[in-house]
This record gives sequence, C-alpha cells and structure tokens, in this order.
Amino acid sequence: MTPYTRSTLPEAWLLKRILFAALLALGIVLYVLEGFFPPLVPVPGAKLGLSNILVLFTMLFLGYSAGISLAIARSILGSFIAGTLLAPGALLSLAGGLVSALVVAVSLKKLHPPLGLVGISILGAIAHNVTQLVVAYVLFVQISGLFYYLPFMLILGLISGLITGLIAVYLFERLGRELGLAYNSDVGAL
Amino acid sequence: MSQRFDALRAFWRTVSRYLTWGDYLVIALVLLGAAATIPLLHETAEASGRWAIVRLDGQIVHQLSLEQDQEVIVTGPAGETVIQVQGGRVRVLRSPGAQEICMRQGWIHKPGQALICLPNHVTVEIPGDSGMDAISR
Repeated sequence: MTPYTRSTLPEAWLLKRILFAALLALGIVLYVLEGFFPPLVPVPGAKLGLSNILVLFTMLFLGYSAGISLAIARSILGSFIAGTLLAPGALLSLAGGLVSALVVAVSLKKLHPPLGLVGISILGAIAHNVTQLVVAYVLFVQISGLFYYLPFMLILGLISGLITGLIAVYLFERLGRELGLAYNSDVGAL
Repeated sequence: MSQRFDALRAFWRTVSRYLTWGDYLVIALVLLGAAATIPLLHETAEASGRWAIVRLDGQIVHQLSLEQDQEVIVTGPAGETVIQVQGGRVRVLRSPGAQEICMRQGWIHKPGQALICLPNHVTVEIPGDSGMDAISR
C-alpha cells in the first residue's frame, strides 16, 4: 500500500471533505445557538433556521447529497449537543430538516432558473414547518386542531425563508467575489 | 426627503436586486395560501374547548361535540361508564368504582380540564392549551 504523498492525495477530494466538516461544524453551532434564544413569536417551533443557509451553501458548492447529509448530521449532532436528542422535538427537527433539504435540492435542480435563492429558501422553510406539523400530528397528537397552525406556519416560513434567503444571496455573492468561488446552477463541480 | 427614507430606498434597491420574478411569485403564492387558510384560525378559536375526547385505556373511543347534548356509554374493564354532554359541559353520569371520584368532579367545560375514572380506565378530556405542552426546537 502506497503511503499518501502530496502527489497521490486527491486534493479536490480532501478539500471537499474539509469544507464539509467546517460547514457541518458551523451548522451545528448555528443550530445550537438558535435554540438558546427565546422565541421571537409565541408559536412553538418558530425559529429563523440560520443553519439552512449552510445547507444551501453546501448544495451549491459541494453537491446535493452533501447538502442532504449536512442537514441530517446537523439535526442529529445539534440536538445531541443541545441535550434534546431523545426529546420529541429532535425528531420533528430531523424530519423537518430532511424534507426541507430535499425540497431545496429538487427546486435547485428543477426550478433554479425561474426561482432565485430567496424563493428556494422560502420553499425550504415552509417545507420544514409543514413537515413538523405533519410529523407531530402522525406521531404525537392526533388532534386535527394542530393544522390550524398552518397559516402561522406559512407566514413564519415566508419571513424566515426571506431573511435566510437574502443572507444567503448576499453571502454567496461576497464569497464568490472574495474567494473566487463562483456559484452557478452547475452543481457538483468544485 | 429625510435620510432615513434614503437608507430604506437603498436597502430595497439591494434587496430587489436579489429577487427574481420567480421569488415574487412564490411570495405571492404563500401569502395567498396563508390568506386561504386563515378561516381555519377562526375555527380553532371556536373549536378549542368545544370537544371532549373520551379515552379507554388511552385509546380515543369518542370525540364528543359539546355543541349537542348527548350521552355515550363506554364499556371498560369494570363496567359501563355513562358520559353526558349538556349545555356545552360534560360530566360522568355513572361509572363503576367505590369512590365515585369522577362523578363527584361534576361538570367540566374548559380546555385542559379532564375527568378520570380510574377503576374503569376511562378518561374524558377537553383538549386545548392551558399552557404549552411541548417545546419543539
């Protein structure tokens, strides 16, 4: 077995993994920090979802599957650190994060030319909220009154998606300029 | 024009540069969707506290509307429990058990209240928030 030397080590491979690890760490930090803040609006489960910016970034620069892995790992490790791993909320968060990441991936792939990152962010945030409602209904409380949250969830998803989407676009533009990382819809090529 | 408005306009110029027509479409559709589901919100304010859920061994056996007067009989391990709804309130009319605790509780009508007939494994609860049940993160 040949030892890894500078010439045999695939640099792009390594760079991708280092970047993924750094993004995951950032995502976990954002996820945990966000849980510390008292909710801005008195609706359970309402939060900004800043770590979704990281998911979007990962999908754009490292590919869809990396973004989905990041969403899953961020939920599990984040709730592990926050101490809510086995609480029902962690399961809701995991399901919401996963479905949201899938929606973002699909809309990046199929709808990106007409839709901008802001629109995709909004779709992701709404998918996150609605999934939480559905999972909560299926697993925990079979009371149809839960769906009366729906208009709240839509509006909150709109607001949080708008904010995270705008941050994402601004961030990616700056990053593109400063680091020479050009993001485009041709995903998967770092 | 004051400086404040200039800043606002500059902010909007920056923001609108980031939005495509597809984004505006999504925003409009979501607002429409939220507007369409808002009638549900009214229902919830009314529906909360308007139902009583009857459980036997934790399983829902009846969902009683408090709007209409009615009586249901639930057969549990100790016998028959008779639950009565009248005038927007609910009570246990008859239930087996030596202490008759759930019958002596009388009428309940507020969300969060419950009647519990332990010997017969029957509970009657009015769902609704009397506080927060769980916090999801």
